[in-house]
Amino acid sequence: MEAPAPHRSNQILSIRHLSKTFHARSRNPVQAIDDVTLDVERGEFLGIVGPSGGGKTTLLKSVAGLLPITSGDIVLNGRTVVGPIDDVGIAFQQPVLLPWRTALDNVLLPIEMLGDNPGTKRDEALRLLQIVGLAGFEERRPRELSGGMQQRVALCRALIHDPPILLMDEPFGAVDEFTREALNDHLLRLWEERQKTVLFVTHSVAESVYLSDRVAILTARPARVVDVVRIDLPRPRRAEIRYSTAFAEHTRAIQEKLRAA
Amino acid sequence: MRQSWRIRRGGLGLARRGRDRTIIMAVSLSALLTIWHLVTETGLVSGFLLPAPAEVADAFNEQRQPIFSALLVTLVEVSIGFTGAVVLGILTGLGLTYSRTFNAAVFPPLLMLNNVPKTAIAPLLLIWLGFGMMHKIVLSMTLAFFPILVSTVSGLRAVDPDLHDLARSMHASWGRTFWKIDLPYALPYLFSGFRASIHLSVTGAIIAEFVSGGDGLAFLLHSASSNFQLDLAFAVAIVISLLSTLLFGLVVLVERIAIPWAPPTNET
Repeated sequence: MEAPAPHRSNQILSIRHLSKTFHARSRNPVQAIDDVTLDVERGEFLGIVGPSGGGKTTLLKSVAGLLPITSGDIVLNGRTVVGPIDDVGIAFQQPVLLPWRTALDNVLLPIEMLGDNPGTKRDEALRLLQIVGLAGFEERRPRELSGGMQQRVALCRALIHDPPILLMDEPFGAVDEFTREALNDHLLRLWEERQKTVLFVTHSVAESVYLSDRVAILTARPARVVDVVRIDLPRPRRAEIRYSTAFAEHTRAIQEKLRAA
Repeated sequence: MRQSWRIRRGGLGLARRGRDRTIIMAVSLSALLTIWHLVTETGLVSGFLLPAPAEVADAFNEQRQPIFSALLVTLVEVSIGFTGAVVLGILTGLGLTYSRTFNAAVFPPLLMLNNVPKTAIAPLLLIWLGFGMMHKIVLSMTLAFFPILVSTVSGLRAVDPDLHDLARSMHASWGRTFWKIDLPYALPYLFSGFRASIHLSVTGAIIAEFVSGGDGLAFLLHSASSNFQLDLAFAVAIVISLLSTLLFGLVVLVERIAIPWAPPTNET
């Protein structure tokens, strides 16, 4: 094992030489992640792009401590990750809301899972729903909400226990283009307001450029870091920025690196 | 609140469709009765083989007392049998889902038992359990058990693994995860199992009564047809069908109250 990385006060997550191999019975071992090293600063929005099915989900689950890693180190908030940690908020590819709960009660689910009294977080839940434009929909059940609205509820649910870091696994992959752009803006608003660190996995290069401070470009199966690109577009970012030359250049540069990988 | 969105969701279309359905059902039922009446009236089918609707109604009126007491007996058998199947089916389903050891020990014999035509063991059960009510209850329970077991297992397995990741991430205990996520998630599946098995629990009781007599509806039906009282036999058969239909309706009603959030299912 290597010496720990030099300590920097604003660093929240440090992934060192992370590898993960799945050993399935009766099948050949599959290597999902190969020697990934990434550092993430507090408050940073890190996009992670790469082909679908390329080990990005495995990377996020490893950071959350939901999967045992094969080798390497993950240090989050000063602690080595060895098992599930509640320092993370997770947004999945699908909203996976509980159909019998209202939007509000879905947002409060993590609080109940933690064993705390959800009443104490009710105001925060209402506030989060308001930020993502769901004021007035608090008492609706998932079946009465559109896919984009459900994903916004899921976003609030990921944030309700105020985790310092948000892990997002292609959360907007299942919605149409227009909804996705709107969701991106909702996410940026939450991020600006709540000062979270975000790891955002996507296979849309444009989405990663629009959202991120830096974009990590990964290969597929096993996932390796090809490059980490800084996106120096000004913030706050609004939809018009998508038409700027700088945006197009970033997008093209990342696409070329992905292709070459 | 809940009611209001159901109306909004279904809209007028659903209500109208519901009314149309009722009208169509009433029309087809009266058509059936008319044909039945005409067939017996014209002598197309001998009155000995097929009693007229009016005769069946008369037989029902005359024999109201014995029919009702037999109905009560069968109802008790079915209620206990079905309730037993619900309890055992859910418990076994929980064991199969959450305990590897239980699964390994219980699954193979259960699979074998499931492949046995349950009605074939009715005479065997008779020898073991005697002519009393227990025989009917156990056969009713045996028939109703498997659909409930299967629906419990598939319901618990249907929980999205992401939700389990979420629960693990929040350090939720097994119990908390079960009560807050798994069980409510499985409820719609459970109710579809109940709907499938309520008929079976009636069938089980009826078959047991045919085999071992007693005071239930099937015995009344059996003795009526042995005495060539086909009007009474018809009346009892209709009562059995009504019993089965009503119990099914009761399950659907409980389902609507228990899980109003679940998508409406096909209720046939």
